[in-house]
Amino acid sequence: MNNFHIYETKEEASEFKSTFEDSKEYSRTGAKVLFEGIVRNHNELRDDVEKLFYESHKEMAIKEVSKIFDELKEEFDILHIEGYHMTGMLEVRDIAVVIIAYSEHRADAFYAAKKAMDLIKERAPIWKKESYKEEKSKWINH
Amino acid sequence: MKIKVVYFASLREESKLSEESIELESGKSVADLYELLKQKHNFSLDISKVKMAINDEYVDVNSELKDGNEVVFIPPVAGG
Repeated sequence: MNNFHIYETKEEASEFKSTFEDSKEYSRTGAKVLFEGIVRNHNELRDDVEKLFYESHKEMAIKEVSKIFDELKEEFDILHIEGYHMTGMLEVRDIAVVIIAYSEHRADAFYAAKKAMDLIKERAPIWKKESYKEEKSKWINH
Repeated sequence: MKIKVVYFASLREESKLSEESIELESGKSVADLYELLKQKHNFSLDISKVKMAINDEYVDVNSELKDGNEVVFIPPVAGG
């Protein structure tokens, strides 16, 4: 079973719930770190971002992030890590990505959640197109 | 040999295609294919900015293509 999901609608995302919390192993958890990436109204260069369009190579993104999760389980003492990324048109204040890491002690869950996001940004085939108030939308290609 | 190319994001928009089938002589690398398609579709991204995948796995740009491969060129990713 994959622990990373690509959702196309907010309805799908609203039903997201980590199955780990129903497992026996969850009783070992002492720390749960939830990261939510939110669509903000600005980037480094401008402050009129209105919307973001995310596109993914779904199969490859799921496969690549599952690999990332496996690497993190080797590197950190985490019990479980799971998450999702939205695709399609999102507005400012919407949730774009969610990562949840579980560990016995807090440090590993914090570090693993942070590194998961660093690696997703670097490796997952997910693309972002920004829409602005005053200008044509453009793909973020840097 | 026949190669299937699938496009995403800026490359999909610039080529105006989601995918296409390319006939290629054997011995060509995935980088050779990108240069060919860059010229054909006038892609704005230089090869140094694009990652390559064959059958959904990232590969080195010099990887040799084989008949029936599915290739995806990955523009700079921007998840999160």
